[in-house]
This record gives sequence, C-alpha cells and structure tokens, in this order.
Amino acid sequence: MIIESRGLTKSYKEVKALQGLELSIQKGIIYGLLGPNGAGKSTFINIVAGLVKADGGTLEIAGKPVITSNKAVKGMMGFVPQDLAIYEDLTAYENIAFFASLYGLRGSEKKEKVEKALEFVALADRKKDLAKNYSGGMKRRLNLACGICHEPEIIFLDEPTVGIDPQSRNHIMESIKELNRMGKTVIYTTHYMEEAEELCDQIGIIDHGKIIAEGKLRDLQKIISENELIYIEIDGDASSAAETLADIKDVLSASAEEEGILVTHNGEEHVLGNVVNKLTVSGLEIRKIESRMPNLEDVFLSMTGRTLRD
Amino acid sequence: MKILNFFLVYAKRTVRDRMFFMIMLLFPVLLIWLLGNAFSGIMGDQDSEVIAKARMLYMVEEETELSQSFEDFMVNDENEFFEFTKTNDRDQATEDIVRNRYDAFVVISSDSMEVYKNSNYNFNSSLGELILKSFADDYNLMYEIASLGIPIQNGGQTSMEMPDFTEEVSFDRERTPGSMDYYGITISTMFLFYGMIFLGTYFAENQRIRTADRIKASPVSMLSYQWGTALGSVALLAAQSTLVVIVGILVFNVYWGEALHIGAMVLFGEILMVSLLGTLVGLTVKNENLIAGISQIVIPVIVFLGDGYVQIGGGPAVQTIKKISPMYWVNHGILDAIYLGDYGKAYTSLLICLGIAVLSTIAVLAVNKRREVSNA
Repeated sequence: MIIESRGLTKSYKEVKALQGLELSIQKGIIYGLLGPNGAGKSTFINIVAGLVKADGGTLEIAGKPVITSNKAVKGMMGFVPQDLAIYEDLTAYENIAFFASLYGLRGSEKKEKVEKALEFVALADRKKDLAKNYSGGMKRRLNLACGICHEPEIIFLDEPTVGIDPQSRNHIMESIKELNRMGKTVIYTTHYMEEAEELCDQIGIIDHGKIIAEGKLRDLQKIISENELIYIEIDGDASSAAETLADIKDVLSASAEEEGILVTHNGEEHVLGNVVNKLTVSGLEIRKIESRMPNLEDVFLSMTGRTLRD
Repeated sequence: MKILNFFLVYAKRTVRDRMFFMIMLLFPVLLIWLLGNAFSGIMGDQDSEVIAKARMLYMVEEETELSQSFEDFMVNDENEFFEFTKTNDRDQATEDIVRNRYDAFVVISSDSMEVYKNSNYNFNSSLGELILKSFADDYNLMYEIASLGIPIQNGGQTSMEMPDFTEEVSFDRERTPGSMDYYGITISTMFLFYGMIFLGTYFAENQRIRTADRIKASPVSMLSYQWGTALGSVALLAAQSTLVVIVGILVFNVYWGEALHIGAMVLFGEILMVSLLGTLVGLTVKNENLIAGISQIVIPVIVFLGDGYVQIGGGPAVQTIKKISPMYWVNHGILDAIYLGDYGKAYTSLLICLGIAVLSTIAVLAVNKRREVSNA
C-alpha cells in the first residue's frame, strides 16, 4: 500500500471532520474519494499534504509515517488544491518554474520539466502569457501543471474540475488517465459521481469523516445489486408521489428524480404491481417504467439516504 | 537557495504591480515637488526671495548734481532692495502708486527730494524711504564739505564708495533645511512605511489564494518562505528609497550634506523594520483588506505625528506624543545629522528600528511555533 491510514481523526472546534478514517490505497491506481461537501475529503487531503495535522490515528505514505517525517515524503507528493493556487501576475512558465524550484529542481532539469508540464496541460503555446489573461479552464490546467511539474509519485487532486467548461474538464480527465498510465498514483476527490465512475480504479465513499464503503465500482454496485431499481416517469408531483410509494411493503426507498421517481425494492415480484397500482389510484399518469443498474449516486443514496450534492 | 526563489517571486510580482510604481515612486517624487514648492519661503529657504524688491518710480524735474548723484548711486547701482523706473508723468505716477503698481514715487527737484509712499506696501515703501534718507544725508554731507573748500581725496570719493568695514553676522548662521530639503528627506522616510502594506497584503493574498498551502505542502520550510519574501521587500524598498533620494538630489537639489551615509544607514534600519513588521502583520492578520484599511489609518497618523506633512508645534504634551511616531525618530535622526552634525539621534533611531525588527522576528517565530502546536 502506498497510503494507509488507520483511525485518523481531526476536529475543528465542535465539528468532527474525520472520525477514525480507515483507508488503504494501492500503488499505481486512481483512487476516487467520493462524498458530499463537508464529508471530510479535503481534510484528509490536507492532512496528507501536511497542511494540517491529525488529532489522532496513523497515516503512512510509502511506509513512512507522515506525522513525524513530513518533509521526507513531501518530495514524492504533488498537491493540486481545489482553489486556483497560482500567481495571476506571473506567466504560466514562471508559475510552474517557481513551484518546481520548491522541490529542488534547478537549471536545465527544471527547464526541461517545466516545458514537459506545459506540454502536458497543452499550454506550451501560451507559456509566456500572464495567467490573468487565461480562461477559467486554462487556469485549472495551469493549477494542475504546478502540482505535477516535479513528477511526483503520488498526486492529490482536490476537486480539480469544479466550475470549468466541458472542454477543459475533458482535458483534465484525460490528463489524469495519462498520469496514471505513467505509473503515478492519483488520489482524486470529487462529488461528481460520473467522474469517479469514469476515472477511478478504486473508490472510497466518505461521509461524516468515515469511509462507509470502499472498493471497485462493481463491488460497490454489488452492495445494492441484490436490490432492484425502477425508474418511473410520471405526469405530476414526483416528490409527493415518492413519499406515497415509500410506504409500500418491500420498497426500500423512493426518491424524486428529474421528472420521475426512483424506487429501490428488494426484488419481490409483487412490488412493481403495487407501485403501479398506488400511482394509478393517486391519479398520476405513468409515462415510462424502466429497470436501472445502480450507479454511485444510487449506492450513496442507498447507504446514507442522501444524495451526493445534498 | 530556496530563499532566493521567494525573494525573486516577490520582487518580480511587486515590480509588475503598477500600484507599487504609483505609490512608491511617482507619488514621493510628486510630493517632494509639490510640498517643497508649496512651503518654500516658510521653512527658511536660503535661496528664496523672502522680501521682494521695492518697486520705485522716480521723476527728475531738473537736471542737477543731486539728480546726477541719485541716478549714479541709486538707480544705476545694482542693488538688492530697489527696482527703479523713470517717469516724466507725475499724474500717471500718482495713479500707479494709488493702484499699488509701485511702492513709492520719488520726485527730484533742483535741491530736494520728495517721496510719496504707498500705504498698502508699508514695509517696502518705508524701507525705500529709509535708504533714500540715508542717501540724502550722505549727499548733504558731501555738499557741505565741498562748499567749505575742503578737498575730497581720491577724486571725490563719497561715503557711498568707502570701504565696508562692517561684517554682517547672522544669529542663524548654520544651514537650515529649506522646504525642498525638508520634504526631500521626509518623503523618503515616509513612503517606506507604505512598503509594509505591500508585504503584509502579499502574505495575506498567498493565504487567500492558497499558494501558501502549496508552499507548505512542498519540502520547503515556512521560514524560508517568510525570510525570502521579507528579503525581497528589503531589496525593493532599498532600491525604491535610493531612487527617491537620487531624484531628490539631482532634480530638486535636496541637501544631504556630509551625512548621506548616516541617512542611508537610518533608512536601511527603517526598511528592515517595516519589512519584518510587514511579515508579522501579513501572517497574523491574513485579510488583505483589513491590512490595507488599518494601514491607511495608522500610517497617516504616524506621518502626521512625525512632522511628515508639516512641523507640529504645541506644548510638552504634544511633543511627547510626537515621540511615539517611528517617523519622528527616523526623520529627526537624519535631519539632525545633516544640519546639526549631531549623529546621536540617528544612531538611536537605527537602534529602535533594529529593535522593532528583532521583536517582529521573534513574534514571527512564535506564530510559526504556535501554529505547529495547534495543528499537532
């Protein structure tokens, strides 16, 4: 394991950000840390990056305890914060060169790695422009380049696609895959389940400072695969209809989603008939009924009763 | 060597900041020019014309020895008191006096002189009257001697041509700072305080945009970051004050006398003080707007108390309050060194600045330590 945390705790006054976080991440994978805002993702990243210290528990990176030997492991990590941590009055080249120099890079080696990072994020042709003249997506890419220019073994990406255009988002997603192909371990936090599904080899679902489920996407789907999902599109108020359906025997959960209701049930044959009957009695017109494979959102919903964006 | 990276980034970013150029270079030069000119004549400027020349009109009614002597010794003799204009129109001359175009009007007849004064310019016209009276007394004396047949040696030399055996002694003989000198020095010390805002907000901005987190996540110590950036501030402020002093000397003739090295030493002490104080403020306050807001209030007070705008008078209480201003120590340290040759205040000022710099350094170390403990 390249990262291993045991019983990690951290509190900010009354708020318990981490409550005994247990996590094991293998070398060379993309690990997605998935959870809603305030679940503890950024706190975990900040502890690993050495920005804050844990109140308790242990954390090891490449077999070295982080709490006592931060500097020894910092050189092998790259940190890409959620905010745009770049200097807008410096050029892209100057930004990357500055952050590269903090990792001891100098002279021709530094120049070579800075050029490589610029190529990697497709900013080489705009390297002499001040960052303040970049679009939001370009700034995000520069933010990424500043974190990976020293070619770290482990890269932490804290919600790197927040608030950017689809083109830049795709570029960042492809960059992350490429970094992984280069043998880097990527720890990726997001509350966008689609990204996690697309990118991650392994996913940890975090809520209230604890990992509540961990594994590959298929493993997680299996958690709720014994149950079945039905999506029913109706003509009427989906929220009140969902409340009505939740009372039916063998229905595990019913929630309003877009123009319909997502019903999780235990697979009993009579459930579908009961659901349709209840909707009809309520005077609601059914437009469409479909069976669905569970996604990460469903997994999260099933385990916490909340959606990721709550 | 990592300190150098922080030094360079601070210097590069600050030099690219137009506000830095405006506030730290353009404003000081403009203010030296503006205040230096506005207060010239009030602050003991030796080159300024404190008393304007008396503007005199004269009319010769009849060409006589008297009129000849008057024109030889008063009109044609270059002097610093009068500016004579001849006229032949008595009415117009009277009108000119009434309308304040001239200070006095002298009418020279065959054997007498009449002086008409402008009461609105009493000082100049009275001065004119006094000197004309002295001329008349000298003339009368020479006339009497000549009429008694006593020969006048050296071809009729008059007392007006006698060697001057008197020496004018001023009670305020030492050089005093003129307005350009005063503001050239004061503005050089004043604007260094604004360097604290640039450094303080720089640290606070790094925390806001999380570049400080990125630095903290790297294998570099936070002290390297803090010292490197503070050193960048020291270098920039040293360059800035050097430029302002050089422009002051070359363009505005600001007088630094024999004490330029003492001035440089005191200014350097001030630069160290504001840079380390700025580091402490930036790390503890963390909010750029708050730092700028507080500074906009505190710095003008420091400058005002330090005689930065005008020299403040007042009783002992006011003089004591003035001494809390760092600007007061620095300013008077340099001025006393230049104009009184007294280096004592300059050394004291340097020691105080260095003392504050050391205390700020200790406070920065304590803040770092406390943050480590609170995170542990």
